[in-house]
Amino acid sequence: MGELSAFSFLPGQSRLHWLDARIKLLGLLLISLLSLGAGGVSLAVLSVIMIVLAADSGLSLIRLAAELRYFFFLLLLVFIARSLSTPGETVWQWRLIHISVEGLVSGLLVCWRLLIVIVAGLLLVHTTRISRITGAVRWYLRPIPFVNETRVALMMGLVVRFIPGLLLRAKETADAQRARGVENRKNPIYRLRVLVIPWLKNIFLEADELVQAMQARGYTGRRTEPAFSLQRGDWVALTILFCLMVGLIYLNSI
Amino acid sequence: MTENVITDHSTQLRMTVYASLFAALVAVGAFISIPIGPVPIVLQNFFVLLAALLLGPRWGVAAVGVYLLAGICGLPVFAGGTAGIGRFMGPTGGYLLGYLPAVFVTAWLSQKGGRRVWTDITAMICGSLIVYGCGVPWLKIVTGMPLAKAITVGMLPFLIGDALKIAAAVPVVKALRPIVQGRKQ
Amino acid sequence: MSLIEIDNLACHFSDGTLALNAINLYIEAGSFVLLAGRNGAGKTTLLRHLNGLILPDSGEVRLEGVPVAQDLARVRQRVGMVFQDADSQIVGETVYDDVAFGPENLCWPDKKIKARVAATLASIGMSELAENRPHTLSGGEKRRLAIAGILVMDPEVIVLDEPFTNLDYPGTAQVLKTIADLHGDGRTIIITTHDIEKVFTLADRMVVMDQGRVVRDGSPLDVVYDVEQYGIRMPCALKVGSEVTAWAS
Repeated sequence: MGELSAFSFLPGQSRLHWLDARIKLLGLLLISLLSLGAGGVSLAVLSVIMIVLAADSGLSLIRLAAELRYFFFLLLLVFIARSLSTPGETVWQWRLIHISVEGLVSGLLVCWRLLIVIVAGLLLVHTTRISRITGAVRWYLRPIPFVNETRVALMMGLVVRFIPGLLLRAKETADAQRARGVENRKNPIYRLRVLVIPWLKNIFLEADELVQAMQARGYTGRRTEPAFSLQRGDWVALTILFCLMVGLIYLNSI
Repeated sequence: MTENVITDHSTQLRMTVYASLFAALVAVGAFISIPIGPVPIVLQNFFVLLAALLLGPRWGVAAVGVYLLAGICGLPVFAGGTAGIGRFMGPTGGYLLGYLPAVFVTAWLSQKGGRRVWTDITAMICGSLIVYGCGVPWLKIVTGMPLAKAITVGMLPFLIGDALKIAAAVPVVKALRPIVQGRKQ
Repeated sequence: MSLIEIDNLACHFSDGTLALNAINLYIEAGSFVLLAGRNGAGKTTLLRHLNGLILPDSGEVRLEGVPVAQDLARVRQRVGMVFQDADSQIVGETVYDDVAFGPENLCWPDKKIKARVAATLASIGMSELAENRPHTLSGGEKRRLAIAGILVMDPEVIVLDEPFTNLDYPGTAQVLKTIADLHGDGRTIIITTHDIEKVFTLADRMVVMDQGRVVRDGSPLDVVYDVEQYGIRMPCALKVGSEVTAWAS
């Protein structure tokens, strides 16, 4: 308990660590979008890039596999569903179940795409401080009307800050109730109600304290702008990203 | 104590913190389950509905929006350890995106209906259906299964749990509304 | 002129009862004030007036002669406040980000923030923890992080509300040492605690509150013999007739 994901920022000196967070975020979004319609060749290119970046940033395969273990289950599900439900030339048949070549191929492609996007996301988290990510979001949101980008960035940070405490509190409340025999009550509505009300009441009280503390620490809504400056390496990365994008669009179109 | 410092500005800060809190609750909701029968019910969509009823349309949308944005950017808010945009492209991505219109419509209907019990319940039912309206077609696209199958797998098994959650949300909202809204003014 | 001047301050609860009643208190720069009293005596309410989290219903609170309400931003920089529950005042998702929260609110340039945060973390011996998530810290570390979060703005006055709650012995000792160091730097310290023994030798003034009033005010050794009627426990050493020694050095 206490953490949704053990995977987090690891300080380092690799190229990805040094790269401007805005470019990393842009890269993640572009790669995700491009891989949506990507075929085998494009995916192979992206895979090579991911492997090189992962190796360079010191992301170990063991950590990666540990992080992905839940996700493999999801991938397997997609793969099976795809292979079963796509019509085509039958490879294997048993009563109503038949697996087609087309199904296997499309299942494999969908899983491969997902895997690449996931790994790209993990690389971003692994090499970027959370405050840099929220800073980059703030920068991108600035031109968008009706969105207070400073507040959104602050909120994203607060979400990450809240999660461990919420889990801890929930566990405490649940334990206290188990100690008083709540498990004898089978009515789920009752169980839900008695868990959630005291838990959230506590949480709201703490949130009020936080509001006071933030005011005491001078929060007014105006805050220092995150400093970003593009170095030579960043421009190189941006160029590579652009070329990659054009190349992949071309590959996807043929 | 006379809260003479409550100005417009500190109300904004308070709602900002509450909305962040609900974004975090939606995140941990995927983790907290109540065991009933064979399938434990997970509280993620429960908190989306609570956010709608307790925070209202504007801040409810802010809460869910920040949750999704944090997820897209790879912050650790998704259960199962998989961060990032891949979650949206996976089979369950449609449900996540569906939370956004769902929270808005639920909050808006509840507000229009004067926050009475029956209008709140109707609002929550509409919100839940919107989540499936986005989730099931996406499940169908990603997995390639026929629509009937997608509904059988991606909607029907959860309906009982949803009904229970809506029933439980009524007393929870009743207990918490004074806390949240008493301080809004 | 005293650093902090409180004149005839009163404050009501929403049901109309008085939370604070005719408080007059002058606090000199560089002093170490121990504020004692039972739960509900009005200590926390009084503290929250010092940096304008609550504004007076009647009477006035002045910092360096200027009423607090007149310039909240300045007051909040100069009067740093450590809350009772260290967990709920941490804002940042890492130790570094939390310490940087205050300076970012002051809109300092990025470079200055980096330098000040690093220096502050070094000064309280938490440099290696900069990348850690706050919830992984020990109780004493969390409390010191809370102190660092206000210290980084270089306040003149540091207000601590029950800083030893839920701390084990090493944690208490760490926090106590940090507080003593801050006082040694010439900062004004105002502290509330139920356990007066811990700061007894550090404090140069003791103020006792009861039912929203100041009922005793003087040097700790003069005041301490009549505190038990106000729900405060006298240090054991004094009961057996010996001297209170420094709780931790």
